[in-house]
Amino acid sequence: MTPELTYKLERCGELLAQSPLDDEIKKTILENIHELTEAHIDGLLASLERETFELVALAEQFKKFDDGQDSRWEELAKRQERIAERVLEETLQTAGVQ
Amino acid sequence: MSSIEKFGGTPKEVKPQEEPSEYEAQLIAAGIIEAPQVESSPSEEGNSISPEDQVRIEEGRLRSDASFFVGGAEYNANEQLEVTAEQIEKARKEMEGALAGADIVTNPEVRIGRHYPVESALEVVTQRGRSFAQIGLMRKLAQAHNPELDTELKQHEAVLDAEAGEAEAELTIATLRAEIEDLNKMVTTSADMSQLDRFGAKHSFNRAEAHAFIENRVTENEAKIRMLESRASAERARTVREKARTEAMNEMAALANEIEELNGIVSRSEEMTRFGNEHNFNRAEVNAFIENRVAENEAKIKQIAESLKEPRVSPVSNESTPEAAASAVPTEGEAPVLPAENMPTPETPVVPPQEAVPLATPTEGAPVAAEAAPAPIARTEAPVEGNGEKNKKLSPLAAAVMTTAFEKGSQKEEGKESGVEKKSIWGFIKERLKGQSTAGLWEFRQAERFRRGKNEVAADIDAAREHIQKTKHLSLEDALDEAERMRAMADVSGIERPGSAQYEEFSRMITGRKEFANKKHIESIVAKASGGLTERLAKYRNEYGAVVVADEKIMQQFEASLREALLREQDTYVQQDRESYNALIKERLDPKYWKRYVYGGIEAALAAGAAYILLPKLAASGWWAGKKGAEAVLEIAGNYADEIPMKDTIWNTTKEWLGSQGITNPSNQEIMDIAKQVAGDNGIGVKEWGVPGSPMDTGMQQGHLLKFAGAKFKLAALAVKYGVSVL
Repeated sequence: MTPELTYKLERCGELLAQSPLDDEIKKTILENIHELTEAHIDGLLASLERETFELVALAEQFKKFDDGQDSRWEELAKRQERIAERVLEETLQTAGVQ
Repeated sequence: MSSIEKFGGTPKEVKPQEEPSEYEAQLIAAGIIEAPQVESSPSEEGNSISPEDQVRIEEGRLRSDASFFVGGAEYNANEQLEVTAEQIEKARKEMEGALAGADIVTNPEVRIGRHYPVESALEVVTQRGRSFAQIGLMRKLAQAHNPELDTELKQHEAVLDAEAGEAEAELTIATLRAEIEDLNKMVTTSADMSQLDRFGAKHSFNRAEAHAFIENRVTENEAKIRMLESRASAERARTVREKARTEAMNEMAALANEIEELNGIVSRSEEMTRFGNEHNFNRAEVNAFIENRVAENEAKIKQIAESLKEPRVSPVSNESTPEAAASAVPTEGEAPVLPAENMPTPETPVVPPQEAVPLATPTEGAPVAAEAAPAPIARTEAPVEGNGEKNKKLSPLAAAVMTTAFEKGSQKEEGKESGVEKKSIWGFIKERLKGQSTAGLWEFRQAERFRRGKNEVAADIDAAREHIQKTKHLSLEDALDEAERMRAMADVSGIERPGSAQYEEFSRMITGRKEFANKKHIESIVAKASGGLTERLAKYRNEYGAVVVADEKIMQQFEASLREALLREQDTYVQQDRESYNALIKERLDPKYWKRYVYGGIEAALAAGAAYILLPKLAASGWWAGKKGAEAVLEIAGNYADEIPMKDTIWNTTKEWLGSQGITNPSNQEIMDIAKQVAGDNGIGVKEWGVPGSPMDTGMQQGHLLKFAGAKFKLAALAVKYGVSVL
């Protein structure tokens, strides 16, 4: 077994373990590895890498959204404080308080 | 009121014994018939009742009479106790109950004499059943207090279950044999079939009919016995085979682990030095030792792998071994066994004939029925070896390497999930999805729907989301929290229809709590502002120098307008969040997107050649019933049956596809023929071949899905020519 194939198999196993795929699918793949070829492993590995990439991208976008959300809600809190001040001033003015 | 003698205490009337006739007396004297049995009284047999016993019996009778008397019975003029109709009915039921417990077989067809093998087998079945019940009780306790023990018990229960099945089969066999034995005895010993109350008189059979009946019954029983024995033998053989295979795989994994460890030692010089010092080896010796050990392990792995590859059927005898019996006898629900010449080896996967159906292309979004097996890709031949190293089957060592890596990865993943390490990407995403807005929840549910196929739940959760959105005074986080709690509670409670009264109750309860919490939050802002208003008013005087009193009306108006303004502002931000989150979700979690670009990758791997191996196994295992992700993957795989991602060019893709179908050395003309078909079917223009279409092949992107449905027809013709078996 070449070092390249060993790497591919290990990486494939690692990514398969991390994958959100159903456990039964994983189990079936693992139980039938001996019936697959290296070409199959290439395809499987490429797809699992793609899946990981998509998940990383998704995670990044969530993180970005979270960061943006935090800052916007901080901004909302400040705006609400200003609104409260404005309403207060308007009420005082209406009441004739200078 | 009725009277029965039993309760009246009158002595039993003894019928006078009839004298035998003169003819009967002659027969008795000649020893042809037996003299009639004379019913003797206890005193005649010398077992006279003692005065003490008589007193005891009398006392018992009196007590019995007293109980009836208290219950409404009365003595008549003859001093007999007349009991009530209810008492008679009660006594009847008591007697029936006692009879029900007696060992009386009322159906003569199944009544069999006492046979030791039957009783012995019955004892085993009873014992197994008892053990099974005990395990069940233990598991209930273990589930509550010791989950690890429960896991062990579950395994034990499975073993017992299998053993119970065996024991029951043994009992059936013993019963059938006993019946045969009885029937044979009848035939050999009976002079008059009319004496056979089971098969003669009761059925009005004559002798010939009774014999025919018995013969048929014996033949039937023998056939049943053969079938049961074959099935039991096959089951035993399967168990042995699976056990041996598991042990072999474990051993290979252990050997592979050791190789990995040894390689690790070599790669770490300090470890190697330590290793060497401890054993008084020098570096060269250590290397030699490791090398030898690795070679030894590899040889063992190879040997085990070879043993796993051995054919399952002996060419000499089909029934001499349990292995052969397992292969030769189909069990219920199993596919018939292939003829010996087609017997599968590890290189030729078994594909039950009923699964070898034409390729199906399910409509996108169409759910996969749980009862019906999806149409898998099935074929009876593996790829032909010799088309480069990459098309050779992987060795068991390779399987062990990947399995080990998977197990390590799984352990790591579990560690991450439990918070020991940083969470995996998927874990993070799941958490984020749970913690996002209600709109996000809906989109997440859509993705879940895609994964789980629970359309109704998704639709109803959507309805619940609408309900939440309409609820006022909920912050984004509160709304999300509520929605998630509702979903979780629905899941935990097993409520699949959120419209149920129970779900409404959960919803009302949680909404009320959330409304209260949110109100408190708003009220704190309002209270602070109100305090400020009061304070300011106290400091100021109007133009007339008078103190302005903050009366209740002013304060109410102030607070109301402030609340409205704050909520309006908050609503704006909620809306903004929702929109931006929706945009993110729609882009990244769209089911179609995931099918094609994420799980589509897995699909590609399966469809590229492995599908015919894996999918029938997936389908045969019945795993898809109610399993998350099953719909997606099977649907994808089904779609992919006719679609192949383009690699380099249409020509190359076609050539590789032919190779994956077993045609490894096609002529250029054959490739051209099919490639043209593919180009035409997909509307792709190829100038050199004179195929019109748009886009042109030169403008195609890698990975573009090419429909190969039309090409499959041409493949069939080529398959005949090359003598390979394809769908």
